[in-house]
Amino acid sequence: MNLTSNFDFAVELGIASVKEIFHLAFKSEDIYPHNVGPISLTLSGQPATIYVRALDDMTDPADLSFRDEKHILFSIPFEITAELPEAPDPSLLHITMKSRAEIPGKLDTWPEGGTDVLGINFADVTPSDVGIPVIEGLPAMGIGNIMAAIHAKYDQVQHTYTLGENVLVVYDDARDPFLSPPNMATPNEIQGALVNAGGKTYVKLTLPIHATVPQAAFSSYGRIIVHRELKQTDTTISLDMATEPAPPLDAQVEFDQGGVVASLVAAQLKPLAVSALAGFGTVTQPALTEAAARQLMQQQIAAYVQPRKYPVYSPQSGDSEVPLSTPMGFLLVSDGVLAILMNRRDSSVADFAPDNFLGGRELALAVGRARVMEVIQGVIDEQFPDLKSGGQEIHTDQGDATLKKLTADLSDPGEHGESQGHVWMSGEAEVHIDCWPDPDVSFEGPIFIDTTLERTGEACILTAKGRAGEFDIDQSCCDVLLDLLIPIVGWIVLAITESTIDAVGGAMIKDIAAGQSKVLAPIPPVVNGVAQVSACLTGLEVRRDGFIFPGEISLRRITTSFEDRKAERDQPKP
Amino acid sequence: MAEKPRGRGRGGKAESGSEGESPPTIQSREELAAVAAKIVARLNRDPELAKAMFLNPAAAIQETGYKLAPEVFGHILRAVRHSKATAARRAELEARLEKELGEPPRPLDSDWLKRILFERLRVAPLDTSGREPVYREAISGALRERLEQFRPRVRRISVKTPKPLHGVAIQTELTHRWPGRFDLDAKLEALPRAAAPPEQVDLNALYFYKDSHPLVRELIELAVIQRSSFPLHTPESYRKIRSGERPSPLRTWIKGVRFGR
Repeated sequence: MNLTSNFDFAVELGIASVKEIFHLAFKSEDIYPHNVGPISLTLSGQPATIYVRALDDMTDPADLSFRDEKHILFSIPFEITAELPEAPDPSLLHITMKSRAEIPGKLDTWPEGGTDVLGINFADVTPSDVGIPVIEGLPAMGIGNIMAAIHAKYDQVQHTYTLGENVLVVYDDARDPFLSPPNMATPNEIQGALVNAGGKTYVKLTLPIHATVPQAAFSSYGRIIVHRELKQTDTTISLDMATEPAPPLDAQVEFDQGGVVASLVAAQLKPLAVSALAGFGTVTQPALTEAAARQLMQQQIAAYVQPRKYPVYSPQSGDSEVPLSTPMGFLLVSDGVLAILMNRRDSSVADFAPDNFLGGRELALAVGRARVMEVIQGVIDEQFPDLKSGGQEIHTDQGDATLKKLTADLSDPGEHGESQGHVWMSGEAEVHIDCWPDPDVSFEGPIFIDTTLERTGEACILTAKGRAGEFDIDQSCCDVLLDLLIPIVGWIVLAITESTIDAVGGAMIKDIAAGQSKVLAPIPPVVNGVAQVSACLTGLEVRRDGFIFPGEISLRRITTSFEDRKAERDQPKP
Repeated sequence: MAEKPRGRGRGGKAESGSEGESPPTIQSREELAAVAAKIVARLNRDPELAKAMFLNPAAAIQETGYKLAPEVFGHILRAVRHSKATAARRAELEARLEKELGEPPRPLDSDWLKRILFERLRVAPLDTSGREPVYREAISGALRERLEQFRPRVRRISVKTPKPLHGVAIQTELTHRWPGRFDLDAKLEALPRAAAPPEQVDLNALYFYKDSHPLVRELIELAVIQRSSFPLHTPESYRKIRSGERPSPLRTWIKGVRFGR
């Protein structure tokens, strides 16, 4: 199993912890302001004010998944409100669209407080990176919106038109109560309907009117029926009221009063009617297609996230003269594991992801084989300094011997017929026996590292002890062997554990506690600006590729949330 | 004691018997020394038999085709149980304690110890419940200083957290806690007296009486020597192991034994 790739140390966290850190970061108003705006821009050719709101609550929680080795895909609910004060349709003055955006965040490193941290950076996100699967709240444009715009436009134009002595009054319900004669036309208000003709879409408008032609002693209510082509872009629909289509869709004037005179008056008034309608100008209505709305949201959400980043793993050296290495992150997508590598051992190869040694646990630390072997060899060399120069004399009550060779190797479960991972010791010694030729004894066997865990209020206490495998415990020779081995194994475990904790950014919490042992934070005790981290190591597993320390982790928010700020504002002031 | 053999026998009295003949008996240490080279050669030809020397060397030598007279048999076992110096100290302690106590000392026998401690020496019983002896550290002094290079000075936490942090305390056994590591010079705090002597007096309990009477310290020393003697198997146990009736304690760790280099 590849525990640490081309590095010395690795920390693995489960996706649940990564999510927890994200939610805690997302609660921080400093990192993720939940309300952004007003942002002024031109939308549909009109001045618009945009407000962006990021959401993460119990009913609509943000979430994340691992996308590839270096990217996390965030799923964040957003609300984007566009205020369009000049929208002809009053119902479109305020549009709120909602969507769950999918945004890739990059696993990245950057310096904070003099030490490199590993976190998620959105700086590279472009609008096209933002996925918007579904948009809620996008107004569906229909004849109702067009008519609302026509009615609104009616309020802005004149309603009485004259041509010599002839007078044409255009009504729209009681929107102009001062017209004379009062509105008794049929229909009572301007009506519209969509009509398709010749491959184009027209709005058929029926405008109630009254015409007075003194010369012909004619006075009658009636209506003008016109067709105006509806033109749609990605962001607007517009109606050019001045462009009269060719017959048979040209304007028609009808009166309630029938007869030849009425027909003549209608024909004469038609130019005036067309002219009156031209006064409405071009009625333009903001109307976002889904594609346009998606683009708007993508742009706004990308703009929202680009400046954002948050740490996930933030070791702190605390000593500028003893810097920590840059943490290198890899996501093990199918396993849901974030692997953090530290202390690059071999820079001649490209960095690569380790295997999943987390195994469904919350936290696990690993130290690679090369590092473990260095410590083992170093401790053996110090314990038996004469070994290199021919032999180390060993004296016990049982007898004396010259240790000529001693090696230790790491072994996986299953090797040497042992179900538990172990350190395989082998060596050679010349045993000195009185009155008899000294035999050379070659030996080999497994050393297991047994651990026990005790929990107190301030710490979990992990106790490790070496055990020589396959010995009859009643044999007193065990004691002699264990007397030699236990200090070596104990020191190796102590040295490796402490150097692992030190290298991955852990820290000492208390000098002396928990039964005269210092209490250590096995990983960085704080995720900068996001959370405080309490963690425990619960065991030690020996593998051919190194040591694994499984553990537990609990996170606690240290940030100021939106709710906190709201609560602060609500506090009575002095 | 015979001289250390140099690989060649000096006499012809004890020669290994051929098949069907009863094995020649080695009557003395000198005879043993004389045939040592032959025995060693035989052991070196049979690696499993060579390993069996760690079960019971006398029994293993007999398997090479010799019979050992009881005195020689006992001499071999005594010689391998302890180093020469320890064997001498054991003999000295046994002799002195027998003289003082009026009977052979049996410091690994709980009933014997209890009687001697509380009746013969009239030591006041102590409440030792929950106490652990003090052990001499296995790693200390210059060695400890050299080994410290492998332990980093873990940095102190440099940030303040709103709530106290929970962490891990790493404890490793750096000393095997067995009687051989008793610190007999450690100054112990005064223990309260017990109402009555304990039911059992094992080595751990005996340790707390080390300053109660001058002989107790020697009893502890003798007990430790006896307990740490090389674990030789009886001839019967040896036979069962060699015949496969009992699993061999040497199936691991002792990979090979070769004599006479």
